[in-house]
Amino acid sequence: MERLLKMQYGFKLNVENKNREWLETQVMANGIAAKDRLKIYENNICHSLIIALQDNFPVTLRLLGQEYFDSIAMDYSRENLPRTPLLMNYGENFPEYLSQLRALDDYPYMEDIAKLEQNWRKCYHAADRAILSKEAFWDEMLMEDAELSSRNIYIEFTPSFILMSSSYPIDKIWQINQDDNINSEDYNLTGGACYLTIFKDEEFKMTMFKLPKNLYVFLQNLANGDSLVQASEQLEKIEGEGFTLTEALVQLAELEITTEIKIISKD
Amino acid sequence: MPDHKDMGLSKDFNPILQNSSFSIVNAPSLDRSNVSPIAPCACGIGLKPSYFDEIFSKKYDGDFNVDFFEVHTENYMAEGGNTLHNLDRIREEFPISLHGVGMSLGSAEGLDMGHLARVRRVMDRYNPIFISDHISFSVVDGSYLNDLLPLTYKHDSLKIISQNIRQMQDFLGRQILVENPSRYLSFVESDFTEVEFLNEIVNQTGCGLLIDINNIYVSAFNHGWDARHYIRSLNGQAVQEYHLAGHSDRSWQDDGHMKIIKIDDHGSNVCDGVWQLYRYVLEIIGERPSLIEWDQNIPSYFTLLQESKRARDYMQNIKEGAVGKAS
Repeated sequence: MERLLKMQYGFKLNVENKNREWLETQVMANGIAAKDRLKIYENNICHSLIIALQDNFPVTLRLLGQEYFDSIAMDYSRENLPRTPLLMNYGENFPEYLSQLRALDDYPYMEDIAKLEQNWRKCYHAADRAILSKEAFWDEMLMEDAELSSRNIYIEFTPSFILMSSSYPIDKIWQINQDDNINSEDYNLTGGACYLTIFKDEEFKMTMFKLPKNLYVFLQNLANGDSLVQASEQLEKIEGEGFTLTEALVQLAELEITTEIKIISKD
Repeated sequence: MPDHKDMGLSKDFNPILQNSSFSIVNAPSLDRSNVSPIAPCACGIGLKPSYFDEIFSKKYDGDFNVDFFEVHTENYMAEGGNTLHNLDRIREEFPISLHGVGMSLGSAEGLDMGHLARVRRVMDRYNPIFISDHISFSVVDGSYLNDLLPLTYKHDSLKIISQNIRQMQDFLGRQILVENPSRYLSFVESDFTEVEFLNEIVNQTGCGLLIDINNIYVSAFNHGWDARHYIRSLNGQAVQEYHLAGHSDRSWQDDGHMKIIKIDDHGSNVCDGVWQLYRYVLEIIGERPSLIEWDQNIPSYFTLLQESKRARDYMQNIKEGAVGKAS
């Protein structure tokens, strides 16, 4: 069994570019050098992982160009072999990897673009749940309204609901680089931060919204487990962004991202 | 017609059974039997999300019927999303088979139980006619090497892969099929030929075989094997499905000599040589559900339907030939 294990580790070392010599001695040449035979498996693995990264990060690919993206992807895949066969998730730390490349210092938004693509994919594959329509949201909320002061109300979001922020206008960069984009609008990198939410509805339609910062913070607090009252208290701390709980609730209802309104008694 | 309940098989299980005109051999239970839950002459194609709209539109119904679809199990392991929903819709009308590429049945370190649990979740959702994976390994030290890597055909490999297959079957509560690989190398030391290895796995585990005709063709070329001898040596009783696919040639110069290796890339039509081998398999082993795989340079849905029809025509020709001889 030890020999079998050594053989299998040999294939991993081969892909990682670490040690090929021992494995080559185990392979019959039979008219074609052992190293050339092993190279086929190595190429298959690396090629398929590059394709997986191309599929998972299409806008990053477009921004970097095929040749450069592929060379980065080749290095990344040798250093970061997948931990599961679910290649739809491959590239878990690819955004951070991009941020560490000196050659990309002039493209500081690239990490966030890759994160946005990753989040878009996570959203697509997230569990599907029944979502409260805005009418149902208000029906439930108004039922509890009278007791708001004595009870804590918590919001359960649909699993596909994702929040992310960036110091760069990544929403515009992303939109302009979609295949079906017809808008040639330019973007200004100094245009400031953006606060985004991504979610899908019950018909699997994916949506990305740019949020005002106060609403982003409110939703983030709710997602982190704050009650409505606690989340609204935080809102008052955001400088120059006056925001009432009612205004926040109106926007929350409009987004249609709530699956459940939970009431937990203070007692 | 046997009682479906006796086979552990409800009528809802398989849409084809509901309109069936074929017979099924009696078997005590579906779980570990060698009885296919689908007509032996069924022809299917590998399903791609880009085909969903055309399948739902039913525009090719008639001459180009599809009897079943096969999907890569790993592509349906997400928590949710439209892809899963679309497969639910397909499953309402067609049998589905699950073909895995990530179980790493030959792993010396044993099975990834987390992955096996995911396979079971997909199985529970889609109630497939077959669950299959490969005679290969891909997981080493927790890393997934995304290819079907070759096992040594030795006693220690046989022991570990048989153990892993039994564990998978026990966990899923049903028989699985294992597929012969395409191989680009042989090891210096071997205790078995590939066919002996496959037959011994069947003996030790009770699993079924999924025989990929293209893989036999590719490996036979790459190693100088006799493909027909390989087919004659297989335990035909254990064979439950055939795969057909395209391959490509990789060639290069080495010391003034041209070297060629055939690569199983599923990126083109099934070549004539593979069709001839398929005909031979039908003659020697007999009809089994046959599936066209095409995973790169994805063609139109219609192209796959045409390939599938060709497989159906081969089966029909063999049948007619047999009838002609008998009369």
